[in-house]
Amino acid sequence: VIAATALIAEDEPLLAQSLQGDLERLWPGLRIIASVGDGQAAVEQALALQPQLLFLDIRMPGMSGLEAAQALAEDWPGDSASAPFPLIVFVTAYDQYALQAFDHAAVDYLLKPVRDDRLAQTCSRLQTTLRQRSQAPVAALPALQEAVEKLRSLLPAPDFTAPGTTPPERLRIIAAGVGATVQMVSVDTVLYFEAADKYVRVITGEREHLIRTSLRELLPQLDPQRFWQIHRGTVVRADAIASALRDETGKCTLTLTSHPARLSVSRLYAHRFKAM
Amino acid sequence: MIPGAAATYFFSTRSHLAASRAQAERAERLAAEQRLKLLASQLEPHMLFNTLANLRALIGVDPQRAQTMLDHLIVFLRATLEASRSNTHPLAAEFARLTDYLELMQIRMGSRLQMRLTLPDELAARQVPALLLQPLVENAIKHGLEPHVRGGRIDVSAARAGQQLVLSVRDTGAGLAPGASGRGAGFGIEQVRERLSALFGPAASLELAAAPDAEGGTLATLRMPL
Repeated sequence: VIAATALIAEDEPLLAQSLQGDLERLWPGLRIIASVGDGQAAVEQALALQPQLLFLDIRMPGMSGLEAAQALAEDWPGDSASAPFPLIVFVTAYDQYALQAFDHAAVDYLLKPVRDDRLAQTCSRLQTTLRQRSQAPVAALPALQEAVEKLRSLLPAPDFTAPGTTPPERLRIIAAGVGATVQMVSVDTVLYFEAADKYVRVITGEREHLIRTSLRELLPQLDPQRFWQIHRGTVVRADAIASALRDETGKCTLTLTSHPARLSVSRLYAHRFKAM
Repeated sequence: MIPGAAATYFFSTRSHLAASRAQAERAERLAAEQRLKLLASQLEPHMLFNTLANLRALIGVDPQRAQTMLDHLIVFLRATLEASRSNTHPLAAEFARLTDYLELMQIRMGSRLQMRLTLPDELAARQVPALLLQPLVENAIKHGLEPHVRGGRIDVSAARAGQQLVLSVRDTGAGLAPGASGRGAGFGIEQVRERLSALFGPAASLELAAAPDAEGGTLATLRMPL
């Protein structure tokens, strides 16, 4: 019996209990160390408890399972002392587009209702990987790199619009409220956008504005050739980037042409800044 | 040149026929697509499979409750299939079907979903288009409560205002996003508007707005002649 620790993220209480019960029955050595109901809690608990396995429901309030996995890949400690990045199993009732992507990224997933034989198969796959890890321990960093690459391939393409919906129009002017006045800010003058809770900070050369929208809603309205996402909370105008610096741990930081800010690039987006 | 004229006549008739046949086929295809879209929106696979997953979980731990849930699901499925044939039913039946749906959702969402349905006795027998409110309640769950970590409450009510029947669906969830995309023009809303306009013309209306009190969320108000 292989011992392991797992976290379950599922917003429907009966399904969370049932998955936990089924897992404990099929895998006696498995310990469920946390069961949470939303994506944000999944990220926080996974970082705090560092489980070996994550079972993530896709549709959850606030942050989806996919977004939670990507946030974790951005924030997971990359030093050699920390635990290896968890093995992730996505759980979904119905997501025809996501499933194709999962197959492509070689990520395991379960379809709800979860059948015992299918869950047993997933368990034995996970056990095989854990056994390989314990026999020939890979350094934490390459394992993390591999997970990052899988999750990167699951990021929506910058120009992706769901089938059956029309792509939103490109934004040219941002109407930013300042007290009783509304400032008209041309996107050409924006250096970068930064998520701040339910708002987005818009930073130009002269000043910064706060707009009441989420980065997730703003992104599809920006030209992906001109505006690059570099972190789940940061989008920068490519023309405004002066240089990318990489330190000895592989961490990448951007400097801007006309602003003192230094912007961190997350692992998921660091591939954009390799020298030609 | 009589044969030539006849040939021209023959060809023009034939092309005319072909054109009207193509038009009829297109109209038929559009109608079929519309029916399919309607059915797919009513039987949302995500809802169906999640409900079945909950049912599967309940069978082991609480067979009695599983049976109740299955009964709600059966009535919900039957009503959904029958409503595709554009009939009407009493408001009391409309509220009963919404209750079936909300009970299913409550088993899934647990304490994250509360509900309150208010139907005055004097309006219970009023005929309304079957499952007219269903898309509004689904939207309230999908866009209002589901994205909200804390969840919230759904109020469905019927009232009389002069010569009008006023039906409202209110949630205390996420609320309309500024510059909301999808909520005002989504397929469900569009479908409710189309049904209303086909039956009552300009005498009926559907309005979506931010709920006017501190609890927040969205209020959908539907008015039609009594």
